[in-house]
Amino acid sequence: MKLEYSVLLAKLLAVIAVIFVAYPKILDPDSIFTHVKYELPALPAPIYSDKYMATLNEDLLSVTYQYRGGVEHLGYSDSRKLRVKLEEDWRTDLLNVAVHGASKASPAVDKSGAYIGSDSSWFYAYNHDGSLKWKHYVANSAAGIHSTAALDKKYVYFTAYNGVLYKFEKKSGAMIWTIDLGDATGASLVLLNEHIYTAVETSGPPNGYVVKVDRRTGEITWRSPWLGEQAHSTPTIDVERGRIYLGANNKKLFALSLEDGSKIWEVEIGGEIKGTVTLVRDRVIFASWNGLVEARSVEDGTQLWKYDIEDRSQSSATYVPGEDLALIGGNSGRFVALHVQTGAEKWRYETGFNRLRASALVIRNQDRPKQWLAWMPCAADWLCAFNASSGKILKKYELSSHLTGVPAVFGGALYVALDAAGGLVRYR
Amino acid sequence: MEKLRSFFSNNAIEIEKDRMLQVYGALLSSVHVLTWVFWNLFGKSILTVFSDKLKYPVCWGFLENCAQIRPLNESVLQFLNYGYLVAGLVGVMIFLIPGRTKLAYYFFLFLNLFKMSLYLQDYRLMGNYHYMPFIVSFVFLFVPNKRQCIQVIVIAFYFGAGLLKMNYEWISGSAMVHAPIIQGKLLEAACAYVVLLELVFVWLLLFRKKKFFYFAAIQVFCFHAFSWTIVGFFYPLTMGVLLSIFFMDRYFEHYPDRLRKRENLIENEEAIYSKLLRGKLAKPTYGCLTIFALMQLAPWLFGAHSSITSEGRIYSLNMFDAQTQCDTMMIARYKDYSAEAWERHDRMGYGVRIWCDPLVHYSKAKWICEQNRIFSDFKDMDIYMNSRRRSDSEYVRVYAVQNICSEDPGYNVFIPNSWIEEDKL
Repeated sequence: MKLEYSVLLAKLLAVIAVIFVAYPKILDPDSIFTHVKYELPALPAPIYSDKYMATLNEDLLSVTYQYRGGVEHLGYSDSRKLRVKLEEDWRTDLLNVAVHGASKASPAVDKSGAYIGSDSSWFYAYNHDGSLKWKHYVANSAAGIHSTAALDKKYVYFTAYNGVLYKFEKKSGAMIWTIDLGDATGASLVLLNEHIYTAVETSGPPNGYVVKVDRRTGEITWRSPWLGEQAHSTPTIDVERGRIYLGANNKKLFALSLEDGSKIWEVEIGGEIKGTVTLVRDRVIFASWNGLVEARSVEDGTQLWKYDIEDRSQSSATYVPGEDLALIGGNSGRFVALHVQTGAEKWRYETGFNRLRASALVIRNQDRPKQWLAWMPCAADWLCAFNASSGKILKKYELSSHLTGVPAVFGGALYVALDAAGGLVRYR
Repeated sequence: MEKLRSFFSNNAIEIEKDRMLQVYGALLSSVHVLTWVFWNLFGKSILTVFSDKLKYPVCWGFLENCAQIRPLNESVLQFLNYGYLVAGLVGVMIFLIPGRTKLAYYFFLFLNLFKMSLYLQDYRLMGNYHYMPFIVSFVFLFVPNKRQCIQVIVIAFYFGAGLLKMNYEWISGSAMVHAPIIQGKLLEAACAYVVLLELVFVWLLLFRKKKFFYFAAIQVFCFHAFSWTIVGFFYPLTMGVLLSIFFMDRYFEHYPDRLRKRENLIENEEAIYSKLLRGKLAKPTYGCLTIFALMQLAPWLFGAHSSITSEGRIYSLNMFDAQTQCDTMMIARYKDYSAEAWERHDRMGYGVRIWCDPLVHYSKAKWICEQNRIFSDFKDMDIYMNSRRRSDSEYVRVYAVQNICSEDPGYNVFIPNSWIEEDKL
């Protein structure tokens, strides 16, 4: 019997030795006892199709459309022009179904057509004559698609509330790659050189981070540290200073490093920031749920001025270049023009629409090129062309539903995406 | 035919001569009653997998067209479901009626075939808690020297499970399906201890010395009692039934008409452990052990990443050695240039062990192909999966199959499937 116990003991020691030799991590307390830290989710890998490999050899394609005009999100277009008097050209069937009260996706338009996601989870690609080119249904996205697509010469990029980023071929609708970034993505995409930037939300517990994704491969280059709450705000990029600005639901405004996503500064605002930050020179302009429109220094986030818009706002400021104005709306229904330098009000328009969430499109008047037009709702279901300098309404258009995003312009035509019971409408 | 009849008869006689085996037979029959409770009260029954929510079949790899052999009628299903409960209860009772052992033996054979016929209806019904009772029942029915063989096989279950758990995934605690009561370093220490228990201490159950036996028995009891909070009632109770043989073997003599405590006598007997090492157990016991060991090797033959590919795992124990997470996508394409995706965060009511099993998603894709074949605007379908073990920092591609409806790659349970990119993992 003694032999038996000796054998047993020897085997026991042998097994323990095998475990420790084969799995040296067990001996390393730093590796085994640290995994419970609150870390970012595991790094996802893109799911890609057969077409993917061919796309890797392509030259970098130029960006043809992105949300609010460019990485600074100034929201105006200097190159495209539009007349004040337009006629409805065509209108698609129902687009959004109003599953959510937030702003919905805006159309992304270029030479190849118009692209837009809906809160019913369908992403549509239309030809310029209004015919459907293709559509794609994204799954497990309870709030559908809220983000505005970004376009380059050949591909469309968009995210959905299922947290997935998609790259599709514009012509065929074929999937190139998709990557699961997190639990949800309400923010739009920003394209800069070889990369895509967006804000990602997680839900357990509510949190978020910014990601930088390789446009060709779909692989994540970096993820920022936790922001502390979900971020619906689309990142705004300051190329000159190498920074990214965005707000989050924890009432904070962040400046992150463009290089690696690390935090440069963060400041308490006093209200959730739902809209997108507008970068004008040395300041960022934004509104929040504390009822204020603010300008803060890009250097350290100190407040430069504030304007009381008297209600929550999730609208984003649009810059009027010639006048140095910022146009922004609030849930009170007020649409206001503020001097960028001082925050002084130049003009205001009370729309009477207490769910004013849209942002203005500022564009030159085709008939009077020196005049800037601001396209913005002027009542619940009405879109107006304002004189951006004076606030005078030049023309009204009845929409049949709310506009919650921002209109888009291409080829002298205006594209407007409507909330529930409305579709995508083109005026020409 | 005569040999076959004699084979069954000899096995039945062994049980007939051993009151302990009759009681153990009743306990094994009670596992079927527990199975019924588990299936019906915890949404895992054959009725559930036929419900609207999960109406598509997920077939076992060797029964790819299982939908065609399913009983389709709701009342037939109800009859089979409740019939199984009644059969389980009858099985328990017959074993306990003296003089009815042969009937009980054949009824127990029928009961296992009954369960197997339900079990094979859908891959979602799979589980380790069925795999082990099936093996023990097989030994109970067909292998001589049942007392010894069952004990050795049960120890082999633990040892096999312990080997599977010898990885960072388990020892770090990240394989847990639910967060246990304990966390952090304590959890990690407990997980490491479980490996030690299953690889080493559990062998002490085969010892005759009281102190060694109870040293192991108490720990095994505590382990299963704790696991109840994580895996629910069915697993620990099933293991309790299987483990009961160790206690009964100590306290039941071979041919008693009554229970007799014999602790003093048993201490002087040669332990099964000792016999096992000295080659003194019956040859069929070694045969069973060898076959069981070979079955555990099956996943390794399919590649080094079976916890991700799941290939070969139907042959082996399927423990909480690694929890996988996956990113899946299915795109159905139509001729009008529309496409529809099923993707992400979609566990589709599957159990933790199979929600990232490529077979499950392949089976669903085939079902969608079949359903859409009648629609003229349906074109084809593509399926994708990236996976990782929960402790891995990155996801890796497991498969990307395009045009799966027209170019069905098939699923082979015997050899690695070429469309599962095991070599790239």
